[in-house]
Amino acid sequence: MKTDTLLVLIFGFTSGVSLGSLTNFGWQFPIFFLVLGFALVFYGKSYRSQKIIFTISIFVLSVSLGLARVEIESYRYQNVLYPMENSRVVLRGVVDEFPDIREAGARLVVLSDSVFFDGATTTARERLLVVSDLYPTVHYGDEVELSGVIRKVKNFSKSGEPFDYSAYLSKDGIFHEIVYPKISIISNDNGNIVLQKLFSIRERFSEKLKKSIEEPEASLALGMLIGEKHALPKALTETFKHAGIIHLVVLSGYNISLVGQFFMKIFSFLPLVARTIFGGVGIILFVLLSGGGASAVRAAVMAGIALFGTATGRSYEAGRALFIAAFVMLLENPNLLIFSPSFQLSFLATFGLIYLSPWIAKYFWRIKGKGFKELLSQTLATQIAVLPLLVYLSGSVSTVAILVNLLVLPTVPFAMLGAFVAGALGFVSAAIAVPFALSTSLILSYTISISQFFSSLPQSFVSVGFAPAWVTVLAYVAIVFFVIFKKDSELILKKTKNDFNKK
Amino acid sequence: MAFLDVGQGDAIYIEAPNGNQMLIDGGSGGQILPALGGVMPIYDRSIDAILATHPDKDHIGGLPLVLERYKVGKVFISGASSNTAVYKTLEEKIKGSEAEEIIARRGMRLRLSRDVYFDVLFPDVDTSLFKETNDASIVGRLVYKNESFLLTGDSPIKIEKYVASIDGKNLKSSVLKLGHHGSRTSTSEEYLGFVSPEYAVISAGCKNSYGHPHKEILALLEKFKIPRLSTCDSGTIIFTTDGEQLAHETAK
Repeated sequence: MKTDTLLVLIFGFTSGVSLGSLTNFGWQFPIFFLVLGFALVFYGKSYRSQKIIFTISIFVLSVSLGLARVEIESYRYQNVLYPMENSRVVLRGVVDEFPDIREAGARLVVLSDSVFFDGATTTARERLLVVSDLYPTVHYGDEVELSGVIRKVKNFSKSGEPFDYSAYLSKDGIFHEIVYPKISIISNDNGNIVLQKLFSIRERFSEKLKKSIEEPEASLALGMLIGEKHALPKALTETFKHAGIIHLVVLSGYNISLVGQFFMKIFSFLPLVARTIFGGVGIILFVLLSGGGASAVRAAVMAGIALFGTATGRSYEAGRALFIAAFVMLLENPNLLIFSPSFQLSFLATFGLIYLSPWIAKYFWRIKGKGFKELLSQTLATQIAVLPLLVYLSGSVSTVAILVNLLVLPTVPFAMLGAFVAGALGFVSAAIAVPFALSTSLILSYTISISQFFSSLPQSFVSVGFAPAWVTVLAYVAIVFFVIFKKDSELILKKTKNDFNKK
Repeated sequence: MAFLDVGQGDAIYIEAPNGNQMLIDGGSGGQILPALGGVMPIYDRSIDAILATHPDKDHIGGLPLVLERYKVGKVFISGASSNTAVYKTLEEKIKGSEAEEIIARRGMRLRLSRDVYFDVLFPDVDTSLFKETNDASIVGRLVYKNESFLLTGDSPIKIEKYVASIDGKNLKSSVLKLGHHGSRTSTSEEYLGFVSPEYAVISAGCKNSYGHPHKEILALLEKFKIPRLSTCDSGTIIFTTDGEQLAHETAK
C-alpha cells in the first residue's frame, strides 16, 4: 500500500491536538517531539528503508505541530476577569453573537469593553456568557451594561452524566458567566456591519415565518432552515432526540446538503461542473441566511464535500477534501477536536456518507427506486458513522431512529422549501404566504406526530450506559480499518478482473 | 375554555360558539405559543381580545410573543404598572401593534357571542398607585347561560373579601380558577363558600419554587368535597359547554 504523506501529516496533527487538549504539559511536549522528529530525519539518512523513517518523522513532526497549536491557543486567553470571580461588577460590552432565545430565557455572548470592580474601572476584552430573562429583548451588536456577580462557568449534570460545560464553552474562548444580571441597553449597532445586516435579515425572515405558522411547527421550520434549535419546547427536543431526528434542527450538514442538492436539481440541465457550482452557491446563500456563524460555515463546508462525494461517486477526492477541511478547521480552532460535538458529528456523518454509503448501497441492489435506495443507504451510513459517538455522548440508543428517519426525511426538503417560500413571501404580503404556510405546517405536524408516536413506544430509547472513551475510539478504529480493508479488497478484485480480461 | 399548561403561570384560552377568541394571561414566556398552537386551528392567526390580569411575569411574560405573532383586536389591562423589563416590553408591543388598549374596570361587559359574556368584577378603582401588583389583578366571570367560570388572577384574600362584599351570592360559578396558583394567600373559606364551584382549577407548574398549590388550600377543597384539576397533573385542561352541560378533558 502506498503511504499518503498528506494523510500522515493530518493524522499526526490531530493526534497532537488531541494529546495536547487532554494533557497539560506545556511547551516541553511539542519541543520534545520536534527534536525527536529532526533526529529521525538525520538518522534516516544513514538507514536503508528511508521511506518508512521519512513517514515516521513526518508523523512525529506533525504531532509536535498539533501540540504547539494547542499551546498557542492557551495564550490567547490571558483572562483579566479571574481576580473578579464571585464579586459584584458592572460590566459594559457588546453582544457578540446572535442571541440564543429559548422558551424561558435567553443566552447571550458579550464581549466586554470595561469592568467596574472594586471602585475602579478597568478595560477588559473578554467574552462572557450571560444567562438572562427574555426581556429586555437584546440584539446582536447592542451595547449593554450588566450588573451582577461574575463567576467561573459552572459544570452541570446533563441527563445523569456530568457535562463539562466549561470545557465546551472554552472552545469559544468563554470562561466566565453572569447569571440574571440587571441589563440595560445603551446603544445599538456596535457589531460587525456585515453580520449585523445578515442577522437583521435572519430576524426579519423568522418574524415573517412565525407570524404565518403556529408553534411548535414554526420553531421546527426555523430549526431546519437556520438551526434555531433552542426555541423548540424542551419536551419536543427530547422527543426528537429519542426518535433520532434531532439532527434536523441543529444546523447540521444534512439540511445544508439538501439545499445544495436542491439547487443542483434545478440546474440539472447544465453540465456537472456548472451544477456543482450552483449547488455551492445555494449552500453559501443558505449559510448567509442562517447568520453565517462559524459552526454554520463548518457544517456548510462538510455538506459541500458530502454533496460532491455522493453526487460524483468520487470517494477518494471527497475523502481527501474532508480531511483537508478538518485539518484547516483545527488549525483555526484546535479546541473543536475534543470539545465540540457538533464538529465531531458533522465530520463523522460526512465520513459515513462518503465511505460507507456506496458500500451499503450495493447490498440494496434489489431495490429498484433510485431515490429510495439512496435515502436508505445514506441514512444507514450516517447512522452507523455517528452511533458510537452518540452512545458515548448520551449513553443511550434510539432503536427507532432509522425507521423514523426513513419516514420523515423525504418530507424535509418540501418542508424547508415551503417554509422558505412562506417566509420570503411574508415580506411581500401575509395573504399570499398563507397557502405555503399552511401546507408547510401540515408537513411539519406530520414530522412531529411521527416522532411523538415512535418515541412513545416502549424501548424506543434504550439506555445502554456511558461507554468509556476507549470503547468509542476502538469502534472508530474498527470502522476506519473496515474502510481501508474494503478498499484494498476492491482494488485486488479489480486487478484480478483486469488480469483475467488480459488473458 | 382551556386552562393552558404553561408551567408556573396562568394562561386561559376562551373560544365562543361564534368563533370569537379571548386569551386571559400568557404564562411566563415561550411556552404559551405551542400551547396556543395546540388549541387553536392551524390557519388561525388572530385573537380578538387579550386580557392581562396584572403585570407579573408569570402572567404577562408570554404576551409580547403572542402580540408579535397574532393579530390582536383588543388588549385589556389592569392599569397597574410595573418597573420590570417584561412590562415595559409588553407596553411597547401593544403600542407597536394594531391592538386597542383598554383599562378594565368593574361594570365592563365584554360580549364574545350572543349568550357568552365576560364581566369585569374588579378593579373598580384606579390601580396605578397600588404597591402590590397582585392586588390590582382583574377578577372576572365568564358566563354562558347556566354555566360560568370565575377567574381570580392572583388576587389575595383581602380583594376576594371585597369582591364578595359587593357581589355575594352572585359569585356562584361552575368552575373557579383558584387565585395565585393555589397559594394560601388566596381562596379563603368564605370566598370558596360564595363561589361553591363544581370544579376548582389550579394553574401551576410542577415542583415550582413557591410550593404551589399550598396544602392548606388542598385541605380546604377536600373539606368541601370540590374536585380539583391542576395543569401540573393534567396538562392543558379543556372545558366545553353548551350553556347547559359542562364537560372537560385533559391532555394527560
